Amino acid sequence: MPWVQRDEPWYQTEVEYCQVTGQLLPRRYWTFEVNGNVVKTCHPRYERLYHEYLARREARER
Amino acid sequence: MSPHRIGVDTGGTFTDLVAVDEATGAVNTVKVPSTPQQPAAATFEALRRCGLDPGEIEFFVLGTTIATNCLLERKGQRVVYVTTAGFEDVPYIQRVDRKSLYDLQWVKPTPYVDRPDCIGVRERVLADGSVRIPLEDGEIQRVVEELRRRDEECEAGIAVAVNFLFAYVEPEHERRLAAAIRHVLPAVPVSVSSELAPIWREYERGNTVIVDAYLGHLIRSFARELDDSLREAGVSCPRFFLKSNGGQVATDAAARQPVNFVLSGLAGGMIAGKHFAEAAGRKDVITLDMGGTSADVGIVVQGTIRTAGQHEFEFGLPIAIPVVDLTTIGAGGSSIAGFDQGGFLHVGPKSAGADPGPACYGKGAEQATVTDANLVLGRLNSLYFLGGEFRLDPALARSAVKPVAVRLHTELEAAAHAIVEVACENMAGAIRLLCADRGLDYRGFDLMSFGGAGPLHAALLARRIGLRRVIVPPSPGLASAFGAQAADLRVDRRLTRLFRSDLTTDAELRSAVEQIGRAALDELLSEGSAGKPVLMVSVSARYVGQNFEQEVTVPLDVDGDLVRLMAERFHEQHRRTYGYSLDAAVVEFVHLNATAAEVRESPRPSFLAGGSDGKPGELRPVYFKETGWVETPIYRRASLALGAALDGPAVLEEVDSTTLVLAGQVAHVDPTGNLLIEEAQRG
Amino acid sequence: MVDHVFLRILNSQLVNICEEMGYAMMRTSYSTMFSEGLDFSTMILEPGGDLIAMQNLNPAMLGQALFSGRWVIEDLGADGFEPGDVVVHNDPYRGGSHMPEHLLIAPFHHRGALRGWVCNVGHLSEIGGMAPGSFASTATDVYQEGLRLPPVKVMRRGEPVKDVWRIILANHRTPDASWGDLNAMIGALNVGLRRLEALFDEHGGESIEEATPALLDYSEAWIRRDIERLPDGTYSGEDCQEDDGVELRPHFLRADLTVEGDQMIVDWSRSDPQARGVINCPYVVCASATYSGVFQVVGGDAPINAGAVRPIDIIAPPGTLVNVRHPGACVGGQTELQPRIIELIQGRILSQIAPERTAAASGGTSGNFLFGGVHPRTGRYFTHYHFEGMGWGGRAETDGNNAQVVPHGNCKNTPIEVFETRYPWVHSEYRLNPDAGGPGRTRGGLGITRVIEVEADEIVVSALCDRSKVAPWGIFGGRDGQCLAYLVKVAGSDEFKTFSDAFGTTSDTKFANVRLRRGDTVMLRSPSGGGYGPPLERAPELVAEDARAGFLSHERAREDYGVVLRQDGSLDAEATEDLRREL
Repeated sequence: MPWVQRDEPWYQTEVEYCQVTGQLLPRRYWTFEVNGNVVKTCHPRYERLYHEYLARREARER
Repeated sequence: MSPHRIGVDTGGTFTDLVAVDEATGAVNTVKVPSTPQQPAAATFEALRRCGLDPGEIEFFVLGTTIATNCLLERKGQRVVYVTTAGFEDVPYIQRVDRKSLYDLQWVKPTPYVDRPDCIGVRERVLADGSVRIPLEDGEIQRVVEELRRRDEECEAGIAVAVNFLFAYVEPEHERRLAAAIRHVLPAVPVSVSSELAPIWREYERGNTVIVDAYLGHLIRSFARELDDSLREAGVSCPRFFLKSNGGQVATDAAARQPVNFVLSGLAGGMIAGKHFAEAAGRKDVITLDMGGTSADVGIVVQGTIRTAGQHEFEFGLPIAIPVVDLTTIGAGGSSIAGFDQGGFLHVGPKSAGADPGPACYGKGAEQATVTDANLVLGRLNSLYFLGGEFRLDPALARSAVKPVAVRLHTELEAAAHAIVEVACENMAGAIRLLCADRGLDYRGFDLMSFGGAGPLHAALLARRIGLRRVIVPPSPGLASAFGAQAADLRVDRRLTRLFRSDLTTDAELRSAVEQIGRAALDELLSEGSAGKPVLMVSVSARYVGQNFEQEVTVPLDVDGDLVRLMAERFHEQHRRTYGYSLDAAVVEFVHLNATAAEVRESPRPSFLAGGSDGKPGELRPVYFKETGWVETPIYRRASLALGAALDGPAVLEEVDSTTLVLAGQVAHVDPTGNLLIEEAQRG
Repeated sequence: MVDHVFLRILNSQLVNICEEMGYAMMRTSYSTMFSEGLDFSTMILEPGGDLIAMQNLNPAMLGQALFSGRWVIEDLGADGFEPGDVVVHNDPYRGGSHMPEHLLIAPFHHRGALRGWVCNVGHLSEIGGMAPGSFASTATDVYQEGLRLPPVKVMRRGEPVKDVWRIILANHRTPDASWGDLNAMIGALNVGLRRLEALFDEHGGESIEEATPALLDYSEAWIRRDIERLPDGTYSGEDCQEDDGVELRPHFLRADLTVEGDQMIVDWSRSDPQARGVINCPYVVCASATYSGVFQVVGGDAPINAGAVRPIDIIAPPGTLVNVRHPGACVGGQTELQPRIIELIQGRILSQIAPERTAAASGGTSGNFLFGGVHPRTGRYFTHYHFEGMGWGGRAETDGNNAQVVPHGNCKNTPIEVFETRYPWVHSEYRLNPDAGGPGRTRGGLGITRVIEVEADEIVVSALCDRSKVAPWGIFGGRDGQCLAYLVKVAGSDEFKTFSDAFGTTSDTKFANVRLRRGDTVMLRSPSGGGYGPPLERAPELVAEDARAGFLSHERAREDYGVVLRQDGSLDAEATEDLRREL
C-alpha cells in the first residue's frame, strides 16, 4: 500500500517535500524502497525518474 | 433640383458614396474602386457617377484612411522632437512592456522620429506648475537656429513637435518657443503638446505630438487636392473631413490638427451604427464593421458612442487624443485559415486582402479564407456578389477548403463550417474582452452589424455571445459612407488637472470646468459650426490609489457643493459598476473632458423598400452544423416591405452584403428599414 | 475521438474567461502592480487541480498556476469546499511565490457537482513586516517579511470570514489598499464563475470533462515534438546572485539539463544552499522560471496547461537557493532569481543546442527601488514600488531591445509626470545609456539612467536588485553589458557614491530603510544586455548607424568593434578593414 496519508494534527505547521523533485507533499505521498530506505515522493511517475535519473547520477558521482 | 448631403468613405479597395436627399430622405449609393495613389481621384469619379447636379450638393463629408495608411507604411514627414533637456530619449524608452511573453526575438517598435532629431531645451516646469529652470530668450534663439539649420538641410522640410514636461499644467514655455519658431520659420509646421493634448504621461503625449507633425504635410496636401477637385467639379458647398472622434471638421481647418484623422476612415461606421440603432429604438449596441481584412468593433452606450482617450495602431505607439473607441480584430472575409504546430485550426490575422483576395475571386490565391468557407456552405451567392458585378467561383472555394478538410479528417462542409466557427469565436472573444475591459456587461447589448461581411456572421455571433438581438441597417456595405454624412460637428477636449475631493474647493473645480467648456465651444466655432452647440463636461475620477478612472458627468447648471456632488456621483457609479464603493475614501479627479457638438438635423433616410411582404425568391441548399444541408429560402432584401417578417433559416441578399438568419431565429424589417433578428423563443 | 475544432474553440473560450477575470482585477484594483505592473494571473483548473487554462500575461506566475492551486485542493480536500467559498494564501512553503503575492481559489460547481476551480494570484503592495512596501530587502527570515497566511478561508458560502479579514487588515500598513485589492480579486473570481456557468450550460458538463484531458494531451504532444528535435545529452551552466544583502559573496545557481528523446529533466541539485538573505525562492518560482526559460526555445504558441509541462521534470532539492525551507526569507527570489534562472536556462544552457533561438543575458534584475514617506503637500503617507527597464541581450538576428522589462514580467513603467505628481521627487535626467550595450555581432540593449532629487524633508528608501558587480554576460564571443549602479549624492556633496559608502549598508544592491533628506540625489542606472557573437563581425554600417543615433561613441566603435568613423560620422571602410585585420 505505497500511498501514505500524512496524519498530522490540524494545528501542525511543518510541511514535507518530495524527496525526488522537491515539490510539496500536502496530504499524501507515494513510497518506494531503495536499499532498505523508504523514499517519499509526490507521484508514482517519480519513482521511475528516481531510478532512471537520480540513481544513475549518484552512481556516477561515486 | 433637390438639396443633397453627400458622405464619402475612401476604403482600401472601394470608395463608397452615399447621397441623401434632404427633402425626401431618398438614398442613392455609388461604389467605385479606390485610387490609393491619388485618393481624391476616386472621390471625384464617385461624385461624377452619382448623377447629381453640383448645385444640388449642399453638404459634403469625407472619411479617409490616408492618415492610417501613412502611419502603417511609415511615409510621413521628417519630425524634429523638441523636449525638456535630459528627457530626449523618452520616445525611445517608451513604456518598457512588450507584446508577447515567450518571444525572445520580439523587436521593440521604432518611433516615428529619428533619435538624432530628438533635441533638448534647457527649461523645467514642476508638477505644481512652478518653474525650476526658466526658459531664457538666448536658449530659444539657439533652438530656433538649430531648427532652421535642419530645415535647410532637409529637402522636404521638417515638421516640429514640441513637448515639455508638465506643459499641460504650465504651457507658457511651449507657447513662447512655438511663437518664436512660427515667427522665424513660418513655413515650418509646429505641433505643440499643450495645444494638442494637454494630458499627463509624457511618452503618450510626446508620441501624439510627433504623429501630428508626421502627418501634417499629407493632410494639408490632401485637403488642398480635394478642395481643388471639388471646385473643378463645380461643387461649392461646405466640405468636411471626418475626425477620429466621430465629428466633422471643415477641410480648411483640418490641417490645424492632422493627428485627428488617424481613425477617420473607421469612425463613419460607428456613426452609422449609432444612427441606425437610434432609429431602431435601441440604446446599447455593439457595432461590428466587418470587411475584407479586419473587423472593427465599437460600443454605443445609452445612445452615445463610446470614446477612448487613446488608440494604438502599432503596439507601443499610442496616440492620445479622444477617438471613437474602436478595436480592430484581424478577422475579415479574406482572413486565411491555417493550422498551428499542434494542429489547431486558426483563422487570421493573416489576410489575402483584396488582391489576390479569397480563392473564389479567381485571382490566383489558393488558401481558404472565410469567404471561401461561406461560399462552400452555400451562404454566399456566387452569381450575386456585389450585385452580380463580380463572379465567385465555387469550385475554387471548394478546392481551397479541401486541404483543411483533409487535415481535420472531416467532410468539406464540416471543414468550411469549422473555419467560420473559429472566425466567429475570435470575434466573440474580442467582443467579450472589449466589454470587460470597459466595465460593461455585454449581455445587455444588441449587435449592430455592417460592412461587407458583417451581416453574414452577426446571427452566429449573437448566439455565440448571448446577445439578444441583431440589427442590420439598410445598405450595410456602405454604412461608413452613410455615417460620414450623418456625423455632427464635434470637438473633444481633454485636460489633465488633478483635484482631490478633500483638498479642492468648489470654486477651483467650477472654474476649471468653465474654462474647458469654453475652450471646446470656441474650437467648435473655429471648425465651422454655425448652429446651436451642445456642451457636455465630465471628469475622469477614481479613488486615490486606484489606477483606472470612471467618467462622471458634471452638471453644468447646478449651484452649491460641486465637489461633494461629483464625489457622490462617483461613489454611486463605482458601486453600480463594481458592486462596491468606499464612501469614506478620497476621490481624485484626474482629467476634465469636454465635448461640444452641433447636432445636425439629419434627414430620416428612406431606403427604397420593396413591395413584397416576405416571399423568398428561390431556395438554395445551405449547410448548418446542427441540421446539415437544408433547402433555405433566399430573399432579395430590396424586395422586402417595411414590416415584413420571416423565420430562419434564411439568407437575405443585397448588392453590398448578405445576411444570414439561423434556424430558431426570426427576422423582420422595422419601419426605418433596419433588419432585426432575434431568437424565436427565449431559452 | 474528441472533435479537434471543438477543442480549439473550448480552449479559446477558457482562456477568454481567464482574460475577463484579469480585466475585472485590473479595473478595480488598488495596487499599481495589478494595473500598470500587470503583476497578476488568472487560471482555471479542472476538478483535480490541474491547470487547464490561464491568462497569457505574466510568465512569472506559471509555477503557481501549475502547482499552487492543486496543492491547496489536496491540502484542504475538495469536499472541504462549498459553493461560495474562497481560500487565500501567500505561504511560500506551501506553494506561494513570495509573500506579497496572494493566491485565491474558489470551487466551481455546475448543477450541484464540482466541475473545476477558478484561481487568481495578485501582488499586494503592503503586507506588514519589517519594511513598508512589502519588500523587506534585509530580512533574514520569513517572519520579518510580513504576514504569512497558510491556506485559509476568506469567504464562506459567499459571506466574508470576518475573523480572517480582521487579522489580515490589522497586519498590513495600508489596510484600505488590501481591502480593495482582495475584493477586486474576489470579484474577478466571481466573474470567472459566472462565465464558466454559461460555458457549461452551452456545452454541457460531460462534453467539457471529456475534452479537457484531450486539451492537456494536445499541449503535451506539442512540447514532446519540440523536445524530440533537440539533440539528446546533458547540458550544464551556472550563474549567480552577487550577494544576498547579508553576506557579500556570490550565491550560485547550477543547472544540469538533460534531453532524452521527448523528455527533459532540469536538475538544480548542484545549486548553493539557501542564503541567509532574501534572494531564495520556493519551488514554484524555480518552476516558473525554468519553464519560462525552456518555453523561450520550445513550445512558443502551445496552450499553456498542465499537459505542456508533463515532458519536463524539475528537480529542486529543499534547502537550496531554488527551494527555500522554513524559515528562510524569499521575497527577492521572485524578482531577482527568476530572470537569473530564465537566462541561465535559455542563454547559457539551451544556447548550446539551439543557438538561433536564444539570447545573451539581459540586465537580469527588476531593479526594485522602494520608497515611502509623508507627502509635504497632502500630509498623507505614500509608498511606491519602482522598477526599471533594462537592456535585453543580443539575439541571433537582432540587437537586444533597449529599455525593456525583465523577461519574466510584463509591466509598464511609471511616467515621469505621474511619478512627480504623486511622489516628492524631481527628475533631472531619464535617458538611455550610450556605450553600455555589450559589444557583439548583435549588441546588447541599453539600460536606463534615472536621476532624481528628494523634494521632501525625508524619504525612506530600500532596494533589491543585482548585477552591480557581475555583469550581464555575452555569448558566442559577445561581451558583457554594463553593470547596474544605484548611487546617491548627499545634499551638499558633489560626488555620487554607493549606498554602502554613503550610508554604511551591507550591500550596495540590497538594503532597506535608508533615510534620505531633502536635496539628496539618487542615480538609478539599470544594466545593459550582453552581446551575441564576436563584435568584430558586426556589420560596420550598423556600427556607424549606432554612432549616428548616439548609442555609441566613436572611440568605442574603434576599440570594441574595430570600426573607424570619420569626424562627420561617415564610415571609413578601408581604415575599418585595416583595423579589424589588426585586432
